Amino acid sequence: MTKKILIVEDNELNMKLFFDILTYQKYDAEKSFDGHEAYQKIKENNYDLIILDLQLPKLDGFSLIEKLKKENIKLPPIIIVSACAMDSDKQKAKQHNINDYLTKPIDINNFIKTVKQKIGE
Amino acid sequence: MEKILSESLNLIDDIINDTKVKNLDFYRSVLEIMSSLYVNTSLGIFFCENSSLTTKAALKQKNDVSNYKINPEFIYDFIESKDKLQEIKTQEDNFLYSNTLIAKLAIKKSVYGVIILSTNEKITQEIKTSFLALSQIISYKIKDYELNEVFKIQLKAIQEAMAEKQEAYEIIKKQHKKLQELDKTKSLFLANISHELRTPLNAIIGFSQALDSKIFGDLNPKQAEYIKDIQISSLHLLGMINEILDISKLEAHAMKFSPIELNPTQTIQEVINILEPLYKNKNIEIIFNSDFECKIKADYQKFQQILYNLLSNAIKFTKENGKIEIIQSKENKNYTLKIKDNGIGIDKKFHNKIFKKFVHLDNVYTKNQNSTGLGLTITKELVKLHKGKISLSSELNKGTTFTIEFRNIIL
Repeated sequence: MTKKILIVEDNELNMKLFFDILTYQKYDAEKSFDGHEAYQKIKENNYDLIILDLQLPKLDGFSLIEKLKKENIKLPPIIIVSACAMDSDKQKAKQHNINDYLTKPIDINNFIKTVKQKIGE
Repeated sequence: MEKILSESLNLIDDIINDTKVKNLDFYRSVLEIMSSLYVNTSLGIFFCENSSLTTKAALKQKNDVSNYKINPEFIYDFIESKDKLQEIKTQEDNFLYSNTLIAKLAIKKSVYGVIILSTNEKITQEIKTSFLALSQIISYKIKDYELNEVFKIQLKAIQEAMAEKQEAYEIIKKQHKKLQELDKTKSLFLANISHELRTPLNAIIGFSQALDSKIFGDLNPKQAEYIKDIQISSLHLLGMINEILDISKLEAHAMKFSPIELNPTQTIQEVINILEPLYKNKNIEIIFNSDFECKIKADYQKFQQILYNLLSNAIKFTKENGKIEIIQSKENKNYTLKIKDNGIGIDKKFHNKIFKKFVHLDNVYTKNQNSTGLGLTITKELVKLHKGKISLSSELNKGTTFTIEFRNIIL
């Protein structure tokens, strides 16, 4: 069965890049440009993976995770893809039990490899 | 008479020692006491300030204090000039009484006043001796009083100066804090800039990689070449962004330092492998004692970065067919690493500047090299994080050797 991936990313070109790569890899990719929209989608759908940017309009990445946890909504596996290279954010990700933290610019081969690992292929 | 004089001595002593007598009317108060003391005798005592030679006189009959002009010629040491005492009696009408004694108020050779005794009674040898003693005591007491005043003025000046100093210190402290805040703002700004630059760079590198991996179809040779060029330039730009981020982290003291046990020989080998395309391209020989055995405590990623920076610099500044030596050595718990090239070298006048930020050596060869001018600054800071020391020796056109010394790092 085709795996469903939600991409949460506010930059249109980066969204296009992730979407094209994942679609080419035969994943069923969906787009979400802000944290609030992402929250609604995660609440209503069952995703196999979320590609999550941190700086987002309306609701930032970490707040989104906290909100979902608070409402006991089942969290799919998450890969954070952020342009923030400071250690503090990586630390925060670890506190949320997210060990997959890719710093932009990503190496697409590494990105594909991480997605495959996470999704269990 | 003797009794009166000795009593007056005691009294003057008491007055002067009394802390209440502080004001500048000190002379007056002494005089007043003296005049009342001599009310039953025919004695009058005068003080004369040296500067004006105007006496402040205490007159026993009038019981007041008035000013009298005294001829400066009459002021001398009465013991030495017995004859002139008579002259005062005959020539000066200013004095109320027939017999007058004048004594200097002086410390060593500095005269600052006179004391005059005037009486109708006969001046005996005893009176003279007592009067001299009195004048000397008053001399010292007045001097003492004046010194106290000077001391007080100076103390006040010192206190004022100290207050000013404290004020200046507070201003400097405030400015220092302001500068620190500005520095923090700058670091934050740099971190933000880095973030903003990474976002478009992600698209540039990502799309060019996607084309390069031909997942969306084949490229013709020129397209393939250009895509490689875009990737190289993007990676170069990324390297510079990383350096800017590193320096802002270092300056904000936000650089994480996590030392682990590592094998430096192995780490060096890894860096040499990463740089292989670069030095092979210039046919540079790398000499390295790969059988050196040692375990050190260092931050793996930062140790690797130090080596990467120094070795890539060495490759950059060594001509084709050149030679680079990597020499490790240990002594007790200290570990030393030397990276020696036979490249273009660095002029002595730049040796002090080279670790400073944004320094590009004014050199035709280096002008073509793209860099931020931050590499060696970061390297030095990373060495410092390990409590190590970095230095260089170099001669123009002969080569450069960078030496890093880590103390107490060997496990």
